Amino acid sequence: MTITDNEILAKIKLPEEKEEGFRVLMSTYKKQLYYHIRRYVSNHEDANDILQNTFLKVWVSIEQFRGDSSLYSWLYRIASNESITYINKTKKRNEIGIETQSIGEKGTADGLHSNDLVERLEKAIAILPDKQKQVFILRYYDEMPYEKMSEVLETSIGALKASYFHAVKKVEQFVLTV
Amino acid sequence: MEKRKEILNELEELSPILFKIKAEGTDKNIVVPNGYFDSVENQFLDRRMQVENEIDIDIPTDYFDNIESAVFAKIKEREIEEESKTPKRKIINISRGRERVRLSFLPLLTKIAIAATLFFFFIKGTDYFKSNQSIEEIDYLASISKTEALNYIAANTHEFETEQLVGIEFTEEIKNVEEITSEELNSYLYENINELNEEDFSEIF
Repeated sequence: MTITDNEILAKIKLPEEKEEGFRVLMSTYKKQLYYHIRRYVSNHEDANDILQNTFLKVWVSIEQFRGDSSLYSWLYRIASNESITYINKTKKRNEIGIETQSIGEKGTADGLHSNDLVERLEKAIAILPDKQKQVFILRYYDEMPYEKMSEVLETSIGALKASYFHAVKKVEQFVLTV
Repeated sequence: MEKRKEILNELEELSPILFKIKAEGTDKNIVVPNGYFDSVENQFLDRRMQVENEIDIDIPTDYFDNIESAVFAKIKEREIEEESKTPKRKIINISRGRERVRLSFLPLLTKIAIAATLFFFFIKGTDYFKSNQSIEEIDYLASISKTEALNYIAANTHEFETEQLVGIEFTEEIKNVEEITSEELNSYLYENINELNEEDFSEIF
């Protein structure tokens, strides 16, 4: 039997059921959020750290959740922002990593194995500006409609479309020429 | 609501190469340890406990928001208590060599006590409060440690009304009033001449 977001929230709001309700929330969303986070960071340990931070933040602020957006959008917003915060904290290390790895990889996409292309794609995403990165990941990987993205990122649909267009072009250029 | 197909069509139009990569699968590089998803909830509970223990240093909620009011309330309470016990007038003789100043009025004693306190602060600094944990007279600051309360008052003297400062018995300072030199006393009186009224003058001289 599936439980709705409203039922989860109702449980969490009762002090004696908060913990149980929160367990249900985690079971419901852990995989989606993990894979979403995993698009920002390439290793499992980092993704797990961010997921745990996300749930901690949700635990602390769930009572302030007013339901202006859906629970799903709110969770994605927190996970997305936590991911950005996390990677910005370790940015220097990541940038050095990317730079080092890119040396000697000049060429074109022709004849490249799909694994190499995926690797290039990940590197390209890593160097996108924060907002474009969020937009690209939500749209390209999570296949999220603009309406939902608008809720998650609290940005107008027009701005999201423009942002996605620019992000796609940048990533494409990187993939084709690096 | 957009359908998945629309999202993919948009991508294909924007970038055939990115569409191709997506179609071939982008999850191949994602490796998740076996059983990871079964452990997420328990990991979270452990993490939460850890975080809560780290921040659990037994400070009541809103403690820092209310500390000023709490201190003032306690001081006021003490002041009222003291006022009911203290005789209206008290005579203190301060002798130093040939000079003698006779004080026989409470308001001026108050000012002298403050002067002595401030003088003591300048001389001894806050080390006095760090080392002296036996000032029994401030037991009324129930939930606030003595050191904390004294340090707070010492550091924020300017925020207290004279009457509130007088309510606190800085025992050592008041006891040592007799050790204030007449030069120090004169200097204090000179600096605070504006605060003295005619009655004060008539009682001093």
